[in-house]
Amino acid sequence: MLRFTLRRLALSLVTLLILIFVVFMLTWLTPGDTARRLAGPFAPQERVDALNEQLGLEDPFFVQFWNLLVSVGTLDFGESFSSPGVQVIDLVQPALANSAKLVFLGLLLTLPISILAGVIAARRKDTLVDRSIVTFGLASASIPEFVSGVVLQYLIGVRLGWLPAISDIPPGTSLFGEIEYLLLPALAIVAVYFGYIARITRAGTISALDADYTRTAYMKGLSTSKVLRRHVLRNSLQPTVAVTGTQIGYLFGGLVGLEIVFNYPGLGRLIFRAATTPDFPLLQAGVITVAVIFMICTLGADLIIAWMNPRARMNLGNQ
Amino acid sequence: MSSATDDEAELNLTRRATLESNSDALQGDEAPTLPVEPEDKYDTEDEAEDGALLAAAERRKIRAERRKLLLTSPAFVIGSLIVAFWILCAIAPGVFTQWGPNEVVRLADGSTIPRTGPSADAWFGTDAIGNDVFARVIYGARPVLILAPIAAALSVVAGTLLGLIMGYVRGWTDEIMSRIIEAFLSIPVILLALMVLVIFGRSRLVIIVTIAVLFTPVVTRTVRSTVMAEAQLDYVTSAKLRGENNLYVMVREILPNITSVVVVEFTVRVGYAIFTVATLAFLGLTADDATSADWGRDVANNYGLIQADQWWPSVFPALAIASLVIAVNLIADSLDRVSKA
Repeated sequence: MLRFTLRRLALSLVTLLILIFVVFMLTWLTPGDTARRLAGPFAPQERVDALNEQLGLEDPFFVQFWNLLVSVGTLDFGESFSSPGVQVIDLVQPALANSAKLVFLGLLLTLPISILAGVIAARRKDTLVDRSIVTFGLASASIPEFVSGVVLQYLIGVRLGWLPAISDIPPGTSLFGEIEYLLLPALAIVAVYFGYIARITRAGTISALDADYTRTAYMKGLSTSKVLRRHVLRNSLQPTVAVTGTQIGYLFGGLVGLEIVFNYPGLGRLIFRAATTPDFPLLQAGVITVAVIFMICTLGADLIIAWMNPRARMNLGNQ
Repeated sequence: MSSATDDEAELNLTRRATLESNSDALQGDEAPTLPVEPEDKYDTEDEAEDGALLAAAERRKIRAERRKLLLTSPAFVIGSLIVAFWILCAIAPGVFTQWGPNEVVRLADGSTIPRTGPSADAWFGTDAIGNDVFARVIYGARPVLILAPIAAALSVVAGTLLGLIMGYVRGWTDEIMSRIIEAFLSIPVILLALMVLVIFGRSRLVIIVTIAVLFTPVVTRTVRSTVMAEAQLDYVTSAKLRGENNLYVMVREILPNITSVVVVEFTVRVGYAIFTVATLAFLGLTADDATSADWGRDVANNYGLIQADQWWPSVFPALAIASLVIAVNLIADSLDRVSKA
């Protein structure tokens, strides 16, 4: 297990390094004079030169890349371009916390419903129930989250008036009180991820139900519920864990549209603003944060799978 | 966002590769867009004992059966009808509406009716300027239907080539490229697209190339795992024994056998490309002309009015996006089912 963990960790680090390089290249390739743009068209040349010096924008390629790596290692990305005097990390941290709350609530709602639906669909394979779950899941998962967000906002937030239509949480709201504001965007997350999780759970359960060990368990005379709990779920949920791991990573930064619709200050909206300003240190820090979270989540998912299934441990460790 | 279905596909592929016999996998030889390989005859001789390769007549029969399966599948028929409707709107919007996208609706007495809900005069209501929302929805089909299929096609071509090389040649090329693919897959497509568009501008060309490049890793991964399964099969071994070179085996032997996977992948990518184009438009990152009709941008411009109970200028274009993506995914799903049946 240790060997597997270390190997998996090393691969993640290589992947992260490549990603940081891609992010660096993108900002490095930016046409135009970044310092001039920051200083404004009428700023004296000395000001532009000073900015270049201060931000290290004239340093050689590899020096700049190395500086970015150091920033990632020390979590010190310097000052934000768009809010002078504010450290980038102080902008990323609260956004990360906000995203975490939304993602957590979203998963808390999504996982039980979708896993249940997936198992039911698998047990009633090819019936009307199965078809409905699969088709509904396919349909809801294909819709961009800002679209389901807008529709939910209108139906539940405005027409029915059950929940706040905007997730502008007033300062001083208790953590529990925040849930009310987060429920609508969390429901939009359910709409998108129900389909993914239910489908993958269904696929995993169908193959586990077909497996020899399930037949053996039935032949031993175990009851259906015992077979399901002890033998089937442990195996059928492995793909579910894998998909959930990757999806959590995407949820942390990919909900740009949803966060904008509900005016929620998460990571996606932060990165969007950094990109359109443009505020390169904030943009780099935001995107790399999303990548690191993705790595942690997929690594976590792989470890859980390895713990669930010794065979996966062998395969991944030796691949 | 995209990786769940891909994971599922991968799960299916590995299962298919391990559980099914060689002859089953060979049925993937359905190649509507590619000529049938004359060289397959050699395989038939080589593998006569296996009975693995189907005679041309039988292959035609399978193809006909698949076509029948598709045409009787409600998901495929409904999906195709919806897509066909939107394509018609994109080609000839004037057929469906008397108003232009930027034309202010005027009643018989010449009065305008901005900010009015759905009525007989304007089926989907009018927006703040007084434009017909229905007309804007009809005209809005065009930008997304131009960008998304081209971007998807480019990514599938690039991904298929890379996947063939990685899955067949393996070795250090595969090892290095796998790491790069993983790096790209560790960031939501929308964030990377955001960065690229902000940096390189938002012309149609940049949008198409960006989406194509960002989708290529996922396509490559799917094709790679399919190719890896195919490369184990007898027909590949016998081609190698005949002394065919790598290029020949990849392009003339394996490629025709994975076309059904590639076709399904293309349809799935079109769905995601529509998703991405709509999201980019919503974020204000597409097109130069701010007044031309575009579903994503119309949602962005009008969703703020929802709280004033003026839902129609944003909800109708939102539903249009939803209908098109769902329809494309229904088609992709039925193609996938039929190709595995």
